[in-house]
Amino acid sequence: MKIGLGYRRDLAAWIDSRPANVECLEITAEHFFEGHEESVSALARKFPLFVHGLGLSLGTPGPLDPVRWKKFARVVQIANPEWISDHIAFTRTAEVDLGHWNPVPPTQEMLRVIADHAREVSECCGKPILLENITSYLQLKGDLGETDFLNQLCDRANCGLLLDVTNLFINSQNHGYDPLKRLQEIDRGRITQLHIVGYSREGERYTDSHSQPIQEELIDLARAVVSHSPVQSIILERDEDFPGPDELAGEMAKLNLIRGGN
Amino acid sequence: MEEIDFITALGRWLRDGRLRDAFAVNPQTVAEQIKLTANDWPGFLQLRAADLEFQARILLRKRFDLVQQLLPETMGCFVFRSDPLTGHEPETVVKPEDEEIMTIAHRGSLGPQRGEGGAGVRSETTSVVERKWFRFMGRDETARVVENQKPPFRFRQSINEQAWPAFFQYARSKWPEEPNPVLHDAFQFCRLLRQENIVSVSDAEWSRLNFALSKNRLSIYGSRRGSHAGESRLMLQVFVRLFPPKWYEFDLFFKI
Repeated sequence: MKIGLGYRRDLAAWIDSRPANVECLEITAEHFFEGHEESVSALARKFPLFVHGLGLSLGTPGPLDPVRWKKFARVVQIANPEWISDHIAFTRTAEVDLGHWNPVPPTQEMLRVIADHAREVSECCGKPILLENITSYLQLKGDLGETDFLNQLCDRANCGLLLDVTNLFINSQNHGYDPLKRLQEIDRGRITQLHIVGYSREGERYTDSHSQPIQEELIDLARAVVSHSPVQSIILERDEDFPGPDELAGEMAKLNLIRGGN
Repeated sequence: MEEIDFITALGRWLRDGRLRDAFAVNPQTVAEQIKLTANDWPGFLQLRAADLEFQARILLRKRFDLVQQLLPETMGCFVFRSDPLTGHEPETVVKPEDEEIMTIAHRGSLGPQRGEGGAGVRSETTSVVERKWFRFMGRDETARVVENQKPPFRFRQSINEQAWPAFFQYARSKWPEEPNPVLHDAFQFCRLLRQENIVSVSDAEWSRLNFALSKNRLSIYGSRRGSHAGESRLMLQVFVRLFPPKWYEFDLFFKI
């Protein structure tokens, strides 16, 4: 099991210093859509890479956005990652680009849309694809329960699950369920990668600001996943308020703890 | 009117505050009006208005984040407000390796007597970077330089508290449909700030937005740049669009 973090330009110097516990990197495809191909190649020479998409909008009915799709495929080609990933969500509709992930209803129709898109992306890129759960402040109902939907989606798309532990926790707190019980309902054999970062609070709600250190309860939840699933990688997904090297090293040490290290 | 699917309908709800307000009062009427497919009615009718509003707010925050990247100086005005001693708006450029002044706290000696807000910030050591007299930037069609210019995280709270309400007022029921929606958001937001005299808009950023939204090949703007050292400079911004959509900005600074 490898541990690493999401590559961000603000962290480039620290990552270049080859700190302990940074064994792999996840690059965000969109960050390299407008060039910097040499940067991707340079990273690929130093670290095993994963390519994570933000805006393929797999949940939008109809064809994938061809411009975005072409750029994504180009980044994958240069990075030669072990796998690629994007979200169980939509960012665009036929009328508007909303710029951020929104939940999809757990219906048979949505199962078909996302599975078809996921297979298309995977086959065209020649890489296995993982699908990630998002934070949602809406609780959408449909033909299927949430975990049935996840399990059937992975089966139908023949893909793995990128389980965002933070998002699972946030949704459980906002919608009032036990994350461990929810975890037991997910097909653990599909959980291939974890994302983790500290959550934030906004009044009564929990939010994913990607700006906080990992809290204890997230470590416990992640350990519960790792103890029963064939997780191959854990990624720290810090996007904001980057701490200094010592604190970053501390965060990576937490990931080492989760995988069972000292 | 054609029936629309759940995803399209949800997109409309999330981008239009007036629709959400109507949904909160009578969801069934709204579902009928927008011709939601019958299969999707149960899913929509069980949505809670408060949850819909919060999800929409997250999207508005993302728009706000992008606008901040185009308007670091104007955002700085929310943090520092006007400097009454010089009569100039303080310049708060985000990155020290960028422009003329990296003035995180330009009046460290005055400290708390400057009033509420930012006293802690004002006690930081002033760091004045050697001034440039010329600056060149290539910009993409969205008016961004290649590197994003997010305000430092430590200022975000002030910006969020002070600038966010104004942005929310503009953006809640408006979603730009033109290409480059971030540019239009930034422009309309600045227009609101100017019209309602909420805070000074950076002349340089206003000029930049005007050029970016135009089809001009060449534009020249002048503006006065004040500083905490009492020095005034004239800034000439020369915008050139030779091979759209990319354009270039040449900035010349003159001591006056």
